[in-house]
Amino acid sequence: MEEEIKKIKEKAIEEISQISDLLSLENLKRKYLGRKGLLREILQKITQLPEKERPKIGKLINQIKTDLEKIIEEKKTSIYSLESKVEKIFDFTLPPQKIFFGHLHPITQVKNEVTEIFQSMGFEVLEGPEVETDWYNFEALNMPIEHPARDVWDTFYINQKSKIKNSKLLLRTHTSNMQVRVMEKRKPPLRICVIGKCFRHEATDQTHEHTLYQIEGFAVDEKISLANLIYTIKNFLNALYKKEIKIRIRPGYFPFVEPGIEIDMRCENCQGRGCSVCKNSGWIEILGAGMIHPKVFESAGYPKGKYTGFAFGVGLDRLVMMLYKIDDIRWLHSGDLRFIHQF
Amino acid sequence: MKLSYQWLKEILGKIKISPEKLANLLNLKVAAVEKVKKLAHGLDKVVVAEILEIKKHPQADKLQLVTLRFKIQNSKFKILQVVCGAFNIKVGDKVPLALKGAILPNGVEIKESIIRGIKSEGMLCAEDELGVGEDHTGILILDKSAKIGEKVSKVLGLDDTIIEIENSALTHRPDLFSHYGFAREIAAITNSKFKIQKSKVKVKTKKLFNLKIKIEDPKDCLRYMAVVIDNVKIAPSPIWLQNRLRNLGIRPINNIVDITNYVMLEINQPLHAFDYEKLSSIQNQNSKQIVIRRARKEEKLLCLDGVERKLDNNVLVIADSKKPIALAGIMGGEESGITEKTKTIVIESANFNPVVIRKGMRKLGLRTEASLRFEKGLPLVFAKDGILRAIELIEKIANGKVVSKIYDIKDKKTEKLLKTPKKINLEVEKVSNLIGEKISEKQIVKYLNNLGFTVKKIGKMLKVIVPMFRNDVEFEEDVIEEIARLYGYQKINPKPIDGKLNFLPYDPLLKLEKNLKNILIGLGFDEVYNYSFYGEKIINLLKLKREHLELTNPLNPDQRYLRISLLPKILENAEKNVSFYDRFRIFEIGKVYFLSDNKIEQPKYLAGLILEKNEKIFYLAKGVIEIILKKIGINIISYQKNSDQNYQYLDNPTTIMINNEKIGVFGLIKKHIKDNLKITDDLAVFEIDLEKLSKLKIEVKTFEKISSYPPILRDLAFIVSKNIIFEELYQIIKNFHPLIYSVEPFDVFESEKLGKDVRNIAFHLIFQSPERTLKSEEVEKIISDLVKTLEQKFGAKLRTF
Ligand SMILES: [Zn+2]
Repeated sequence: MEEEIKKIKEKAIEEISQISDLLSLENLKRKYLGRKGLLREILQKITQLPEKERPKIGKLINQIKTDLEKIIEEKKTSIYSLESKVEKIFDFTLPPQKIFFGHLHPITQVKNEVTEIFQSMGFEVLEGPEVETDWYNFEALNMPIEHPARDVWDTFYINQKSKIKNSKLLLRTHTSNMQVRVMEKRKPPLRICVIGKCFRHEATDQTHEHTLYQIEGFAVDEKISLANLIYTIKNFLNALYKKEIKIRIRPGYFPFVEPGIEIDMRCENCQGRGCSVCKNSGWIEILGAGMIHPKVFESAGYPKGKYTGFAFGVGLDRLVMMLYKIDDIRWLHSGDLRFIHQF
Repeated sequence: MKLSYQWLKEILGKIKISPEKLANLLNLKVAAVEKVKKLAHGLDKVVVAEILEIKKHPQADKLQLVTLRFKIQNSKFKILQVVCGAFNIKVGDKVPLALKGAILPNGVEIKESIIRGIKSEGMLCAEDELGVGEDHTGILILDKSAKIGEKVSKVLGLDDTIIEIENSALTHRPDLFSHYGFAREIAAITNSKFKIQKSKVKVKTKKLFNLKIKIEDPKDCLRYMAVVIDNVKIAPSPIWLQNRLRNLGIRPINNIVDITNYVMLEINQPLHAFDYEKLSSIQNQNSKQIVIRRARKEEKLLCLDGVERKLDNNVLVIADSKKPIALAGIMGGEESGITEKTKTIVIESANFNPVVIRKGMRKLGLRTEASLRFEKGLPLVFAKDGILRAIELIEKIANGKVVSKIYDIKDKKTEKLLKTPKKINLEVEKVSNLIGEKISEKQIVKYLNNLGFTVKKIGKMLKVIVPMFRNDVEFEEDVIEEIARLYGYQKINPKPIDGKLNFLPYDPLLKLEKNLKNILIGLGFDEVYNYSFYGEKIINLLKLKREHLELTNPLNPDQRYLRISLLPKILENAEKNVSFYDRFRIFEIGKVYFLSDNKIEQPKYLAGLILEKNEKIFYLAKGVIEIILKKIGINIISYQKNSDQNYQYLDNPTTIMINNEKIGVFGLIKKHIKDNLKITDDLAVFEIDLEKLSKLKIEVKTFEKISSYPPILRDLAFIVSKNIIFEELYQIIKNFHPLIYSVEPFDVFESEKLGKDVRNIAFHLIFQSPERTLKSEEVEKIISDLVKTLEQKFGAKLRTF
C-alpha cells in the first residue's frame, strides 16, 4: 500500500510538471485532492489495513496531500508569472466607438472665461440691446451729432425710427451703450461688465469684420481711481493668460473718458522682441480705457462731482484670435464646422 | 499727421534725443505714434541726371528712349540710356536716375534689362518711387540748380526722419496738428523752455485796396481775417520749402500756395489765397466783396481739384458779390485761384464752425488737410498767428507788399472769448483721488506751467488759467489728464477697488444661455455664430412674412435686413456643411429683431438643426427639445399645430407650449427648400424664445420616495385605429389606476399584416405600491379592466405575442 501511495505521488508530480495552464491544473487538483480524488479513495481503503499500520499510512497520506498542495500552489504561481510574461496581444489601437459630442464656439469659450474672471472680481455681467438709439450709443457718451470722434465708429443705421427721445436707430458700435442705460436706473456702487455683439460699418477682410464682440467694463463709486482701473485690467489679463502679463499705458482719446488711456500688452508671441504679430513693436494694442467723463455722469442724471468711475473696452474676438492664433477673422462667422470642430 | 524731426529741431533750437526715442516719448506722453520713417532710406544709388535726348521707342508707342548724362561722385560724366514710360520730361530736365543695384523704398530692385528689344540701364523715378509723396503721374523734375551726379536724397532734403502720429489720437487736440503744437509738447515733457517766435510784421495801412467782408451767420464763421497783398511774383518756391512740403506729403505748387500750406503745417491755421482781380467788384465802388454764407440751392463751384460740385444749404461757402469762390474751410475754387499771372492776392485766415465744416465735408464726400483741421474746432487765436506769419513769408519769398488793413471780422461773442481765457478751479486732493497716486501741489503747478497753463493759489483751490491755444480744456478732469500724462501713466501703482461687497445677481437669461449651451454640446450640437443680417433672397425663399428692420446703409444687398429668426442663417450653415459631413447638429443662440406694436423687440432665441438619414427625425427633434427642457427643470410640455406665417417653410410645424404659453416651434424642412439648399438627408429644426423661457417659474424638485416593495412588469401591445392619437391612449393608461407606477411606449409600427388603417402600439407597464408587495392576481385584474376600457373607448385590441 505504501508503494501504491508513493506511486500516486510520483505520478501526480509528473503530471503537474507537464501542465502549463490553470484550467488543467485545477482538473489535476480535483483528480488527486478532490472529494472524489485518488488520495481520498486510498484513504477510504485504509480500513482494510491492519490496525497497527493505519496511523503510519494515514500520516503518509496527509504528508503527501500537504506536499501536493504545496507543489500545486507553486505551479500556480509559476503559471501566473508565465502568463504575464507571454502577453497576449490586445489591440488597444483600434478606434473607439463614435461618440458625438458638440463644440462650443471659441467666442463662447473665451466669453465664459472672461465672465468668470470678472464675476470673481465682483463685477455683474450684462449684455444689453444690440439695436440701439443714437442717444445711448453716441450722444449720452459725449459725442453729439457731427462729433469728429464718431468717425472711429462707422455705423449701421436703421430705416425705422425709434420712439425713445426721437433718436435715430442704429446697431450699437460698442457695448459702452450700457453705461448710461445702467447708471440712469441704478445708483453707485456699480461694477458692471457688458459682453456682447457690436457692429461696425466696414468691409470685411482678413483682419476686419463688421460684426464683432466687445467686453466693456465700468465701475462707479465715490472714489474710483486710475490706479483701480490699472489693477483691474492687469488682473484680468493675468487671469486670462494664466501668467504675469506685462502692460504699457499710453495716453489715448475717447470722448467718454477723461483722462483717456490705451493699454498695450507685451507680445506673447515674441516676448517683446518684435515679430509679425506685433508689427515689430513688441507690443499689442489691447484696450482703450479711462475715467468716466463728467458729461456721461450728466447724461445719466448723477449729481455733479459726486462720483468717479472708470471704463474700459476690449475686443473679445481679438482675444480669441490671439489665444488660438486664428489668422483670419472671417472664420468666426463662417459657420464652417471644420473650424468649430477644432475647439 | 506727419512731423519732420528736422523741423521740430529747428523750432526747439536743440533736441538731444534721437527720432526713435522722441517717438517713444510722444507715444507714452502725448499721442499714439503710427510709424517712424527715415526718408533717405533706399536712395543711395539714385542720382541727379540731365536729359540729353529723347527718342521714340521703335517698338512701343507708350515708351520713350531717354539718353542721360550723370556721374558718380568725382568720376567723369557718363552717358546711358533708359526706356521710360512717362511723357512729362523734356531735354535739359534734371531728373532722379536710379542706377543698377539700387533698391528703392518700395522694394523694387533696379537691374539692367531689355524692354521691348531695347536695353535700359536704369530707371527714372516718380515721387512715389522715391518714397517722398504719392504722385505717380510723371517723373519728378528736379530744380535746375541741382548738380549732376549729386545724390537725390540730398537735393530733395531727405536727410530727415518723419514721425507719423495717429490722427484719431488727436481728435481732441486741434492745437497739435502742427509743428509748433508738437514742439510745445516736447518742451513740456522734456522739461525745457520753449517760446514761439512771434512774427514781427508791422503793417502800414495805406488802404489802397478795400475789401467788404460780410459774415451772414456768425455761428457759421467765428472769425474771418483777410489782407490784400500786391506785387507778388508767382514762382516756384525755394528748394527748402518745396522739400519740406514734399517730405510731409504735400505737393509743392507755387510760392503763394506753398506758403499757405507751410503756415498750416507750422502753426495749424489753414489759409487760402485768392486772386484779387478775379473777385467781382461792387458796382460803382473801388472795392471787392467777400461774403461768408451758406450755398444756395443749385449753386455750383468748380473746385481746385478740377471737379465741379453741386452745392446746397449744408455747405458753407466764401462768395464774392455774385457767386461762390471757395468751399469754406474745405477747398478753394478754380476760377479765383492763384495762377502764374496773378499779381494781387487776398489771404484768408478764418475760423469756421466745426460742425458746419463736417456737414459740408460729408455732404460733398470731400476731406482735405484744411477740413481735417477745421472739423476739430481750431483755437481762435490761430487765425491771427497764421495771417501774420503768411504776410512775413510772402514779403520775404514772393516780394509781396501789404496794401490793405488786416481785416479781422468777428462778433462780440468771439471778441469776449479772445479777451477772457478760461479759468478752471482745481482741487489738489481731487487730482490724487482721480489718479490714485499722491501728487504734490508743487508738482502739479510745475506740470501745468510746462504746458503753458498759469496757476494761482486761492485758498485751498488752484485757479488754472488755460492758454488760448488749448480750447479742448474745459473741465477739471481735462486739467487732471494733463497732470496724469506728464506724471506718467506707467508710474501709477495698481490698487484694488475699495468698496461695499454687494450681492451680485447673475442675469437669468445669461445663466440660462450658458446652461443650454452645455446641454446642447452634450447632445452633440456644434455652436455657430452668424451675422445678424440677411437679404431678400432668403426672405423670399422661406416666405417670411413679418416686417424686417432694414439697414439704411447695408454693405451689400445680402445684408440688408435684420434677422427675425435664427433659422434662415442656420439653413445656410447646413447648405455649406453638407458637402463635408453626412450628419451634424448645429445650434445658435442670439438676438432677433422686429417691431411689435411699433416697439422694437430684440429677444434672444435658441435655434437648432439636425441633419441625418433618419425617417423619424421629427421625433428625434422632439426628444432633443424635451431633454433640453427637462434639464432646465421643465417637465410639463405640450404641443400644438403651428400656423405661424413665419414658419411656412416647415412640414409638420409644431408649437412647443409650456403652461399654455407658446415658447417655440419645431418641424421638418419642406422638400422644395431642401432641394434649393441641395440637401437630400432628413432635416429637422427647432427655435425657442429664451426670453420667455427665462421668465418661467421653475419649481424646485421634490424628492419622491422610492418603494422598497418589488415591482411587477407587464408588456401590453394594442392594435388600434390610426385615427386615435398616441397621447389620448397614453393618458388613459397612465391615469388608469394608482398602482400603475409607470408607462413607457416601446414599439409603434404599421404593417400590412395588421391591416390597413391600424397600427401597433406597445407599452411597458410597471405596477408598484409604496406600501406592500403586490399580488399577481390584483395586477391581472387591473390589466383586464384596462383592456376592456381601451376596447370600449378606442376599439383597441390586445395583441397576443
Ligand atoms: Zn511680437
